Amino acid sequence: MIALLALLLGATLGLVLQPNVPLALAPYLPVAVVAALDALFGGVRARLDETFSDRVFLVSFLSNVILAVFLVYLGDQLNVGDALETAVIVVFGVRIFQNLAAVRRHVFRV
Amino acid sequence: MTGTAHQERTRGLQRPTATGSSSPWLRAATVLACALLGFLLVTQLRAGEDLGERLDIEREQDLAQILADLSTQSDRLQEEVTDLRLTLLGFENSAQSDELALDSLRRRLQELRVLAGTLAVEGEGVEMIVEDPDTQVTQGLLVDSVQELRDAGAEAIAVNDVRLVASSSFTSGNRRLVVDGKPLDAPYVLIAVGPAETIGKALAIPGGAVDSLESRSAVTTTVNQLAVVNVPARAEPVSFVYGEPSPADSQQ
Repeated sequence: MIALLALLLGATLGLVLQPNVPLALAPYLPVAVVAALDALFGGVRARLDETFSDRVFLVSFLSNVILAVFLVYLGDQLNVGDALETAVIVVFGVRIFQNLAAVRRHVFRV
Repeated sequence: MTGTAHQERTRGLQRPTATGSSSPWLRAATVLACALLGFLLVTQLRAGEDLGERLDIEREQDLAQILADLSTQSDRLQEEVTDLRLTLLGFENSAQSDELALDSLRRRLQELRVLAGTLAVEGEGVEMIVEDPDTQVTQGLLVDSVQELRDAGAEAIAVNDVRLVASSSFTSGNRRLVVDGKPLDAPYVLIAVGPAETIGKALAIPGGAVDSLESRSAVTTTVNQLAVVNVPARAEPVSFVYGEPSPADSQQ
């Protein structure tokens, strides 16, 4: 519950401050967001499974984001940035779907 | 070794937060991470709202693609502008020719109205006054005079303020002349709009209208060429009872 409030607080902060994305970070922000979303839905699923742990969540959050950004950075250096970005987003997308499916089973019991 | 690691992980996973196994620091970090996520999400959603901002972050090949797309779009729009200009030109032309056609129709209508006597007419013309103290003038003489006026180019004629039209007729009844049902009394005043000089000459030729009138006893005529004469409109329009435009003509 506090986490949800924090999420909304962060969103409000983003709306109020209207930060400009630094040019150097701009290509990595989308993958970072998708990776973080994966961690978030994983956390929701764990919460419903009653296996949620702050430590696991934090580790998966940070490792997801760092790994995703690093992969895209690497891809940019290897001149396959577009393709690798797509790959990362597809993988995280699939995982988000799986997590959401698990959440759905919990909520609707189907 | 692996067993311990597995145990460790399992333990960490299996312990729900509700039991309070997490430290407050970790909980705070989680909350912070969530806030960060919200912040990043909104930032990313806001970014790329306008093209200029998006162009900054696109890769080179994407930029080339965007440029090509925009060029194609620009070409297409340019073509559309040309097409529309042509259409506009066409409409303006046709509007102009419509205007011309309308103008000529208006002129035609005006002419027909003058001929039909529904409009008063003024302009250059002659005034012919026929004094007839002994009532010697016959309808035939008047018809001849009117005929002479028309022959000389008169466009509109009135006798004693009665406008003469295509269906006008002179008759006599009770020893008075009658035109279109209205009795005429001397002096007869014929007013004609037309080329004054030509009409004046035409009336004056030997054996012409003036000569014929003045051959009767006590009849005198005066012809005045005037810069402006007024011919009144017909009091009531001619109404047709028996005739109708034939179908072949009315279709035009």
